[in-house]
Amino acid sequence: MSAPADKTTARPAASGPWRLLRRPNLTIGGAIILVLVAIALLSLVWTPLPPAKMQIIHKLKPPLAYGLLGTDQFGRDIASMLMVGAWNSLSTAAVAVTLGGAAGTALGVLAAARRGLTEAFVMRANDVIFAVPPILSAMMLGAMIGSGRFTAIIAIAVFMVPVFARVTASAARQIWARDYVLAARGAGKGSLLITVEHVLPNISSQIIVQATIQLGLAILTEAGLSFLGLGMPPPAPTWGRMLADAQTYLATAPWLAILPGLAIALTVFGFNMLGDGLRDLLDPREKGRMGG
Amino acid sequence: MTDTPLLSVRDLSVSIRLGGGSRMPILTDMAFDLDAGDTLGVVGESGSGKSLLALSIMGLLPGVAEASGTIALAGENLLDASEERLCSIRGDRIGMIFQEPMTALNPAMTIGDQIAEGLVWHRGLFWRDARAKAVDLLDQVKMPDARRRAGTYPHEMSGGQRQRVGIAIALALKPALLIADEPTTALDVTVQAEVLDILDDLAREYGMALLLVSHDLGVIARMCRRMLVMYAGRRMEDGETRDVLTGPRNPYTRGLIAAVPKRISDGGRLATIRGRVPGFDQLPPGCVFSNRCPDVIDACHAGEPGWTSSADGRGVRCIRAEEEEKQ
Amino acid sequence: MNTTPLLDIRALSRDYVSHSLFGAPHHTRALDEVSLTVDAGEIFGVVGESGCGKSTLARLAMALDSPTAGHVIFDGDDLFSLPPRELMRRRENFQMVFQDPFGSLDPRQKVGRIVAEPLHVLARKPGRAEIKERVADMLESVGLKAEHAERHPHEFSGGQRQRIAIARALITEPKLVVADEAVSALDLSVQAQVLNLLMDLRERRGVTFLFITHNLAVVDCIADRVGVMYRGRLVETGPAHAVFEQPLHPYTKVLADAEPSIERFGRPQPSESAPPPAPFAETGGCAFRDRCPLAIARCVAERPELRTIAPGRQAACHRAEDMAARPVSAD
Repeated sequence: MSAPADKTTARPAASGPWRLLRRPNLTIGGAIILVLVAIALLSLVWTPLPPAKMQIIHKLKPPLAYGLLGTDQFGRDIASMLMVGAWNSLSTAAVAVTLGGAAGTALGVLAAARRGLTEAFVMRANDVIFAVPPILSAMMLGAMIGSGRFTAIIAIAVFMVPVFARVTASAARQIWARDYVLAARGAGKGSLLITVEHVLPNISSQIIVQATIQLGLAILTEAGLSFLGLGMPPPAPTWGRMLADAQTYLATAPWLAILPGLAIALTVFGFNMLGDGLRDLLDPREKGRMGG
Repeated sequence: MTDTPLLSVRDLSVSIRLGGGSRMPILTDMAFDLDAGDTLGVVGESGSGKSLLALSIMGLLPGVAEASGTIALAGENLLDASEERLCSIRGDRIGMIFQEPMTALNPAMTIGDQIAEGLVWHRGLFWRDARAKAVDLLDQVKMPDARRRAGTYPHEMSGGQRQRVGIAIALALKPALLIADEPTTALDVTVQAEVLDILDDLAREYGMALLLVSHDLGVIARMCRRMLVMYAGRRMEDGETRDVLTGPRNPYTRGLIAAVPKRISDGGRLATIRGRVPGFDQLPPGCVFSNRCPDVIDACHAGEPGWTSSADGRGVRCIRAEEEEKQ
Repeated sequence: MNTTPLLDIRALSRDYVSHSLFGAPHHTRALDEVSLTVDAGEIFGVVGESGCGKSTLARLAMALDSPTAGHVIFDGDDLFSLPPRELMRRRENFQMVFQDPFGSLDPRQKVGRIVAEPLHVLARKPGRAEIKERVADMLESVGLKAEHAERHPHEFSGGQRQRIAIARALITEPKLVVADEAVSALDLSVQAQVLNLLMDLRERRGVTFLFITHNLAVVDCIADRVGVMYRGRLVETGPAHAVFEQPLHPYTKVLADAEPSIERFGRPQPSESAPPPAPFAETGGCAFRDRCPLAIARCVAERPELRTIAPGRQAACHRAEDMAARPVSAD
């Protein structure tokens, strides 16, 4: 038992939009991702030039010499390719994280609700999946069902499962120890109902934060897969393959490698910052302080 | 006991900086003296500001807090002291004991080392000598099997034992002033009795002054010669504990005493103070207790009463009490 | 009038087994053959320090945990031999209030939904409108307002949250409410208000309370009868006032002497010397003998059972008669 909380260490409440300045992670990360998503969505309806259009006479032009970001060895507009690449990367990552996240969360809350053997089994299964890196599983899957977008999504999603399972299991376990769950059991509610009504809502912020961070990881993994030729097949532009293709021209046309590399780095950075910022924002202790 | 008090607080006010440049006052017009070797209990409920008071004296106010006034420790104003000076004072001249023994101790250090640490840093002892002294201190706080225990970690101990370690750490440097903020609230009743006995014995032996902050009137009655009652960041009454508890002058003190659970005959009820403790941004005009006081009159809303000290060593903030005194 | 008790706990035991990687599994006896009865309309207080098993007792009385041995007979039904569906229906009649006003309410739900949760056990689920009405009614009975149902827990103070918890416990109009340290985390003045509320509820609605606490003053205030627990066993029972005024078990006296009171100033004079507690040795005899000033040889050899010393008063001590013969304590 503890003494009643002495709420004298009040944190000043910030007001209005200036609140964002207190959270640089959230603002910067959020801005980057917002811009990225906007560009990706835009690419569905418009790009400066059709990304697959080859204009050999304009090949290997540096940025601003022809097109905003230059052209590659086939004369394709890099800016357009990056835009469509953004869409490809983001959509693949989003689908993979959603699938893996859903499966992982389900396993995690199941393990926390059942404890005992179920929990042990789930946790060990996680460890097994963790042991196989996504690149490897993508290659195996590729050999079995052919490489492509679907393979990439499945390979990444499978690797997401243990991450989410672990995070949700640990968060859910803490919720199960709360008195309001005991009260719900006293109200005759079973594990499933409690999981849905009490556990999931209270761990949702942790899941969101984890999902954001995993999105960054998924983008990186997808780039790696396409770099190795295991992602979407040509002519679909992907950042990874743009990097792979740029290798031979590193000396003569460095922007071919720098630009997609920068895009990947910036995206992952953005997601990480956003995830950090969200975590700080949604941390219940923070919430208590801001709420007063 | 010398003439000048060991700790002398005057006109202490602490406010919290809010966003947008505004300030929310928390502590207002706090003042009291504590003589060397004497004991003072600060009593208040949640939202009284008592913990903030303890933090101000320790020099551990959060960054957004602004303090004004004087906190004089043997003549030196702690509010003017540099962080460096405060660091050397803390532990050496002021010992601190906190409520939660588990979080106050470093889980990665043995308890012997944690006790010895202060001796090494402040007194320049070698680790070997400091550790030997640590075992000594553990004996003094009646830790069974002290030598062996010195090598164990906090998580291997019970709450009462951890709090004893906390006391040993606080006393290692024989500080002149010991500040204890709810030291036994998290402990069982019998463990609390033992820990309070130990604290009492050692404080007497070392001639330390004790400032005990608590919400438990019984603990204050047991440990402190004098007491100070706080409400909404103000002092409402002070005096010798026995006098205040047997003859309270401030209606809030009376209300607190009446609310202490006791057997009531014939289906009666405990006397309560109506309403709730106001937030610091919702204080009523005039006397801060005026919206809950059973003895309130119109004049109470007009302005905050000042503090009146009487010759019998008692002080009170209440215009009704002042009237009664005159009679 | 000899009626069957509302709550009849018989020889309830609960063991916990902790498995370590090496060596034999370690058994802890959290509850050791505890038997007590609570009559309808009374407030039965259970006091003890940490590790005495009172929280385990609360959970078992609420059938939120299964015992290793023993029975909990509520209103004539043996709770642990009921099929799950039947047990759920019975839950309408017993509910619980927890200690932590900040942890016992789901921060993500609105107060109205929280208070209505126990209605889940009813065979006939009331409609939306009826639920709303019952919630509003209950909130007002505990001193809150009907519109509070639309707010979230964090908007309320500790005392108000405890009232919400009490409203939740009462929504199904139970016969028994188990209050596990329900006022321990509250400020003094708030505590007094909540204690008054509980006493009002007992009077107006005839609710029976099993009131668990470590605070003797609270128990003395609110309880009709009290049970004192030590290390998983019930060591004394009797009317609250009598038990504290003249304890029949040495541990009860130790507890009563140890608790600070505003009527005692300065250092209490130790009435007898008790040796410091030694680590718990599970080797037969009375669990309290290491700390007991009255311990004799028999206490080491033979574990005392709870027996009737005087009408309405029981104690588990070989020296209980000697305790009874002592002068009544000054306060």
